[in-house]
Amino acid sequence: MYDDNPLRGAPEGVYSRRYFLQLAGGTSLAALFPASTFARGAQAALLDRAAVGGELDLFTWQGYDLTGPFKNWRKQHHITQKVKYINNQFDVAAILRGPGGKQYDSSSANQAYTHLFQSLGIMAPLSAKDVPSLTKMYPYFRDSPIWRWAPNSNKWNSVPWTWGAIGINYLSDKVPRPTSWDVLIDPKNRGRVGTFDDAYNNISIAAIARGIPLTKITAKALDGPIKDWLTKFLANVKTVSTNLGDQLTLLVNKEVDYMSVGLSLFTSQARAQGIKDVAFTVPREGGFGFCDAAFLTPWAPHRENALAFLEALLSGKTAAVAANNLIQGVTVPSVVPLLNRTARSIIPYDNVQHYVTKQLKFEVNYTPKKGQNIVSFDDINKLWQTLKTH
Amino acid sequence: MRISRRLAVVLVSPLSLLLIVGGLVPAGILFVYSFYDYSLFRISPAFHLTWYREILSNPVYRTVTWNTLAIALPTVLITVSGGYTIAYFLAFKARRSRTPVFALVVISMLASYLARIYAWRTLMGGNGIINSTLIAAGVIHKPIGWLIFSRVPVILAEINLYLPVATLILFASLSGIPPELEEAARDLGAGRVQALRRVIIPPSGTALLGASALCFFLSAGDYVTPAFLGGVASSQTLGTTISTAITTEGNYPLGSALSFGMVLVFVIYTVVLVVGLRTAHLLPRRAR
Repeated sequence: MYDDNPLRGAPEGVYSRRYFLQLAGGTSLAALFPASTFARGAQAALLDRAAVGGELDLFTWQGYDLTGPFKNWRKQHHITQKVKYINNQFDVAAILRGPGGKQYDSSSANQAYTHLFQSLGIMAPLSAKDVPSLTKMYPYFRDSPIWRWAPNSNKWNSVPWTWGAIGINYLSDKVPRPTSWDVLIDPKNRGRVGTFDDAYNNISIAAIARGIPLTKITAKALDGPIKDWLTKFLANVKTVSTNLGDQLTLLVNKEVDYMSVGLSLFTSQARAQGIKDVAFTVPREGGFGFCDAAFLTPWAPHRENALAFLEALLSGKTAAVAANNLIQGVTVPSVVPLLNRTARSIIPYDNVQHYVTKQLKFEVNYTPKKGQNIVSFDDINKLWQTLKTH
Repeated sequence: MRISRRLAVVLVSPLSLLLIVGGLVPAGILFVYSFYDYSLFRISPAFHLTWYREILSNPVYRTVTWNTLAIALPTVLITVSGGYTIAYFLAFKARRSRTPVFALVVISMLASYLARIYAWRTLMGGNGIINSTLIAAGVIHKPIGWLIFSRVPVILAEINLYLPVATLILFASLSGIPPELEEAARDLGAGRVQALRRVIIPPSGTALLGASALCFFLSAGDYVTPAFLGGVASSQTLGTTISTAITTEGNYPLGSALSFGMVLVFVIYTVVLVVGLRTAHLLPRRAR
């Protein structure tokens, strides 16, 4: 069961210095009346959570730092934020496990990487006590093993907070809406396509374009139809972007007509730069879903601030502000009524369960267990590197 | 002024220590890593030559090396010859214009590296200044494709980045050559080219070698310019491949082995350069 009251739980789980002082004041007052339940509650809260305030160090995607949209939230909670942007998903493990990685409180994981990152020791388990709104998510996000610390565990490895479909961005003033992924391999579009330097996304797109389930990509499929599609695709690609900002720049400067690994986010960000012709579509073969989860590092130097940030991403007005800004989905139903019309229109919120389990290709598997005849991250990285070079 | 041996040791020690700690120690660690095992973000101690074998046997790395040379060699050739021309002008010909030209060379180094690369995009892009101007003037009907996202803009941007470096190195050497030497050679019957080749270049041969080697190292190791201005295949250089191996895949053993492969390329390049310059009598027998 999830909480469907839209007005409940706005800034839950967030404790500012002011709140701390109020509690401290209340506690002092209550000390005069030790029998009062207020004193017990306040003291318990005080013991449970330290005060929020001070620094917050994020290693996340450009846009997910919400530097602008969360300005008031940070001010309210006296948080100063530092952020370094992720270039691609493998960056997260490389940077957090590398020198200097211990400075980060929180980072981001796509659904394909949560268990990999957990096994690499860069995630800390989270309970509903840490992030109360975890229990208020749509059942799919709340219960899926993707984000659970272990099967049937009451802990999560991360906080799935934003999601949507990967599709194609295109310049609506120059080209018609692409209805199939195969538009990207049409020889007449040579030099008119952009993409993102990421094996996982590009190989998943090729699999979808060729009708191969993302949970069952075999070595034969990888070396056959997927490789074939990607070879034709890369022949059309003008340049490979190394980060999201560069993808957006290419669209805004109209250097490419189509951008693969497209996001609805680019449409809103292009509009913010005065360019209204950057459109987004999901081809008829389907897109594949992405759900990005924020996670806490085991060594988080500012743990309480990070937990407050994770709760703010999930719940109440802050979550709505984030989703309105990114034009991506929310995972807590009570946030939906707080969304603006555009953000609400991109996801069929009246039937999320059906959408994420039947329509969107959401489940992926590049971390095969022993004996499974499917490809791994190593395999897809090798293929992508080889194809890019030739 | 002569300084005592003890004082010299004291003065040199901090920087030597910095070089050892900041240069040799990490290089040593990388060298050890190059023999380690790797499996998706997990590296474990081992001793085998798997990664070196991989580099030698996988055609991807031959293509990557070729891409690197195809960018670095023209960059060095144009940068060093251009830098020599400017340095020669500054050392022997410029009078009143020396200060403003020198200032221009230095100022061009001050702009942010990334800003300069993005400026090249603005200039050379499909809708950039050059293409737009040519289209507006009716010279071309559609944008010239190779002006952006190919080897050409990478080479041009790197020339722009390294020309001031080469110029300053060469100027430091040429400014130490008395101008009377060239005049004396001309008085003795040497032509302009002969005087340059036999009187001016040999004493500056060491600087020529240094500038050529440094620009090659910088160009071959650059992983930002090819990524932002190169096309799909042309952006895959040794620099970008090492960056991908280490920062994207966390494959320190492969990245380390590639780094030492690149060092080998540098050594071969430097040896060829020294032999070439000596054969042409442009470098003293013993570099000073």
